[in-house]
Amino acid sequence: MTFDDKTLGAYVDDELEPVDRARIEAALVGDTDLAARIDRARRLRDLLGGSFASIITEPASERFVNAIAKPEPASAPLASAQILKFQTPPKSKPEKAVEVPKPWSGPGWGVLAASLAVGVAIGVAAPWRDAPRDAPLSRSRSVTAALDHQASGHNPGPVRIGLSFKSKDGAYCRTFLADSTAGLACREGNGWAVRASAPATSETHTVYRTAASETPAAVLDAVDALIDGAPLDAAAEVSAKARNWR
Amino acid sequence: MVLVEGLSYQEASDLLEIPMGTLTSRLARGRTALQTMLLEQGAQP
Repeated sequence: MTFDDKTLGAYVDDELEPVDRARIEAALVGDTDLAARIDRARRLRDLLGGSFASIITEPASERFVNAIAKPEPASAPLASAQILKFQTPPKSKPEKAVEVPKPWSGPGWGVLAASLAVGVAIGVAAPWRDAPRDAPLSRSRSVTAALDHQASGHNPGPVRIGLSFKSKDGAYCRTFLADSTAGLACREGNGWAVRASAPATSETHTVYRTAASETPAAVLDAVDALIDGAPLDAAAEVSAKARNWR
Repeated sequence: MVLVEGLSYQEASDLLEIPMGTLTSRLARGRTALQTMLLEQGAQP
């Protein structure tokens, strides 16, 4: 008869029911391997108990007791402590989404240009700095490349993809974050059309950040209005990418 | 808690707020890991 380590441990710890205890003791007769395993478990227990017994029973230091008995008032300054502040965007300043009418022709181009102005004006560090000032998204190479190829959540470059989903009209859509601009783009023909965009406020630029957490509420609202069902999981995303997002 | 302080399984699982099965599994893994470490250091558990 064999016993697992959990059962033998319970035997050594005197936690077994009498019937199980009796089974082990019966098996112990003539089973030297079982006896050795139990002996090792007992020695370990004795070793640990003996090693820490004096520490457990020794009185607590005066400094420790004082620290518990007299906690610092909540208003006490913590000058020596290093506090990491996780900044959040101010709730009083919701970003305004820029909805792009579909099909986007005529006045729609003006709205699109306005929606992209923030991203285009990012400056030298902007990933789409090579694009003309009023260029549609399809000409912003790094963003388009990310929308085409990059998996959600991965962050190998200047553009991050938040989530991917299928819209109610059957098109694939993806949220993205490029420098200080977040947006939502949906597949149209061979390219991507921006459906909403908003500046990611500077307060969101912390060390610990994700594309999803930095997506402004305005863009998330646009996602809510368009999404059909749940966002794509990794497998569905790979499948959609393989079909060129069609 | 069990091996050093001598708490029963029930006491330890209550304090840690984990199921008894989780406690016993962790105990078994902890024992094995400790025995391995002690053997590697030349001690005989």
